[in-house]
Amino acid sequence: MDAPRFQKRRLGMFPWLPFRVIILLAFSLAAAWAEGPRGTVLPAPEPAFKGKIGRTYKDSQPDKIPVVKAPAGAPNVLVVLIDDSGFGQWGTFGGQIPTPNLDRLAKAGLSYTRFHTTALCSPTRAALLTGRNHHSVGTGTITETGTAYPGYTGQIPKSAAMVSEILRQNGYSTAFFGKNHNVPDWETSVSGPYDRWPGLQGFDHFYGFLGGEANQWAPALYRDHQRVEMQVSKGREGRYTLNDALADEAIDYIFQQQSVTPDRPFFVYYAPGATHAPHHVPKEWLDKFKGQFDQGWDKYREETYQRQLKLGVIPPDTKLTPRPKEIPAYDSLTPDQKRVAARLMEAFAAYTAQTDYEVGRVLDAIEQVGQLHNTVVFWIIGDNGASMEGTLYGAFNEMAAIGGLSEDPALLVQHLDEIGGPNAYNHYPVGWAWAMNTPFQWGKQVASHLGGVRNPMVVAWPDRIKDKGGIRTQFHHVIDIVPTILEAAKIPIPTEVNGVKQKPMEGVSMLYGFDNANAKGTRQVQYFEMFGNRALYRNGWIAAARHGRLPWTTGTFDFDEDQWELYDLDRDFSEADDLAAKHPDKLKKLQDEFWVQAKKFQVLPLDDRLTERTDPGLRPSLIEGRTRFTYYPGGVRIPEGSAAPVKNRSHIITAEIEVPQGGADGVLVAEGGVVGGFALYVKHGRPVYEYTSPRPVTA
Amino acid sequence: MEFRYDGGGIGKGGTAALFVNDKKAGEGRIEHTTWGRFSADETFDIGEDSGSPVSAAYASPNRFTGTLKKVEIDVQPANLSADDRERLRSMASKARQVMD
Repeated sequence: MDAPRFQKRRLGMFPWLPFRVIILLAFSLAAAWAEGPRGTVLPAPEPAFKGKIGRTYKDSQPDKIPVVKAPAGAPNVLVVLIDDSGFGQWGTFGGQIPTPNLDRLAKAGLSYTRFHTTALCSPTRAALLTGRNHHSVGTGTITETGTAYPGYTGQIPKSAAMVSEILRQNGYSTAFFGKNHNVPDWETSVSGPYDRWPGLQGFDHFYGFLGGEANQWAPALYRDHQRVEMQVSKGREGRYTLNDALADEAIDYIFQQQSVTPDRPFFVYYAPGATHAPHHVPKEWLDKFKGQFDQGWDKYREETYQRQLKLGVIPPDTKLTPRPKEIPAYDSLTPDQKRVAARLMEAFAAYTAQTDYEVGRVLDAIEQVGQLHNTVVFWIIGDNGASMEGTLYGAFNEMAAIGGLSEDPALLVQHLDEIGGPNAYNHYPVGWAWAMNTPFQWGKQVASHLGGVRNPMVVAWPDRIKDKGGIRTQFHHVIDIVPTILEAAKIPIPTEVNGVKQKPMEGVSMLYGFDNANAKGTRQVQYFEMFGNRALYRNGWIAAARHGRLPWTTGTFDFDEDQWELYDLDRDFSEADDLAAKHPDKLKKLQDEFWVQAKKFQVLPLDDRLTERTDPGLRPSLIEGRTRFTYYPGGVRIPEGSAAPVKNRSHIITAEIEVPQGGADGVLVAEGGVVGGFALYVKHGRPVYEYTSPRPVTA
Repeated sequence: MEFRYDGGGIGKGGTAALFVNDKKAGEGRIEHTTWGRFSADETFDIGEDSGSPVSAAYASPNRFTGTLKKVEIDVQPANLSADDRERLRSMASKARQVMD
């Protein structure tokens, strides 16, 4: 009764025509909210209801249910992050390994040759996804060696929301395929918390692994929060690895997402386990590289350097840095050591080539759905330089190397034909890693020098980038990717996300350089620090101190003993000429500046311990103080750090079982895998306890 | 299965003895053990061996075909030398002081 009167009153107040105008205006406002200027608070405040509510629907006027849409024309974004790869590894940048898919992307886009990472896995990934320096987001080291200092907890804070969360809340579909390594070790069990898993960091979908590396033949995978096994398609048994699976999954996702919402942009983060050890690769790939690396690492450096000059990916006056005395000359190896080194390098080359091929398939899929033209692709060749963690002569079982053991050379020769296969956990010699980092010094972990931190990157976006095949030489860092993505998508950097005030963005956008090769670089200062290896870059100059421990050794060293070097990077691309003695004042200024930056970004205290920091007692633990553990059926995939601690102590394992008539076989309890571990199992009705551990060999 | 650790440091050997219904079924020596981590990606599993197999005698997952009710593991405090214990303790307590 009241309602019609109300309506009448309104109709009486407003002549008919203006009323219609008002309704139309309300609708257009609703549309404008979805696509208009974006706010810096996420989630955006709920829009005010613009309809009219009476007693029933008959006297009410609905609004439009708000749908968050990405800004008009916002591009799809594909970020590809390769693991443990050097500047002189991929053919596109002068390496000997043919990488035709990276070639084709570089021809369609831009090659960045002064792009930098943090020198280690988790830190680079944290920096890449948050746009903040690694220490700033608690990831000064890998989570397995974290400590209770703000820069080293392994817990990326909510005050640095990942780009996935920002894009998701701005109308993107988001998906993550591959390596995470940003969930603290003690948060990887079924019991959670899941706050730092990809699903609660803005990714609609996740398919991949949580740790630092994966057995490519038998990876410990998760689909979102659910543990899954890799599905090997029929007929591909024994020649299907994680590299294949990740591409298949990403392609499947892109097809599905585009089938349903061709107008909704996607953000795909594609981070294969490749080319991190173990260098597992199907034999058909391995066979292509037989005998191709018999020249050794010293010769490889020369050859690669010449190709780099020819390609123009290094300036014409670049010098090739010499081999440090800590790495043996290839000629000093015994014939057996050479055979092993060559085969290990062949496996690594095959793994790289396969990875290039699989990323190529993902690019093909984007092309197939007609989206390549409006997709910004960032293909970053390495989260750090090539890894020098494989010992001086290479490893059949890299866990032996990590445990500080060296393997019997005879064992390596004996297992030559198993390299790359499921029984191996192979890693190549330090010398080969150094060669992959041509023309620079050192490699992974050594944040002080370019071999650790200068990783090439290719960026393509056909709709926007017109200088196809161009080279960009502005100094940039992995923290600069997030601001670039946001600027490309016309999405502002948020100041608040999910109620948490955000730390200032530390990266700067690189978009300015898309149209202008000669634009002045926007990054003037950058610190580097990893395990005490440290450097400070300012306006073309870099002061660098490599700390005592080499990546393939253990131990801790006096920070005051470190020798500082100084390089004029604008004129000396490879850090070949140390000018520390010539410009002591300049060096001093940069050294002082390092401490300022280190304090600002939570780098302190410096800590060079690697093995010692693997002690789980340094971090929160799910098992601390417990001496009795009871496991029920289905207790599988329990992270090693959260399972009953049976190492270095006596223990009793009791399995309560029922054996049906006719007997029963199988595993009762097992920890580890081909790299080492123990298993209590029943075979042919008899119980067996088997323990395997890399054999300590005193060389 | 009872594993008696030799002690005298980390990564030392031990003796493993198997019992079926409390009756000893076998015993063997393990000359050295892994003191840190077995692997960076493998896990602890009950009733199967996920990922790659520990043993070459079976293929993963090799699920137990009978009924597994439960597995209990009792661990002794680590029988480390004073030096080893001190090293681990000082690092742990230092870390905790900072956390507090």
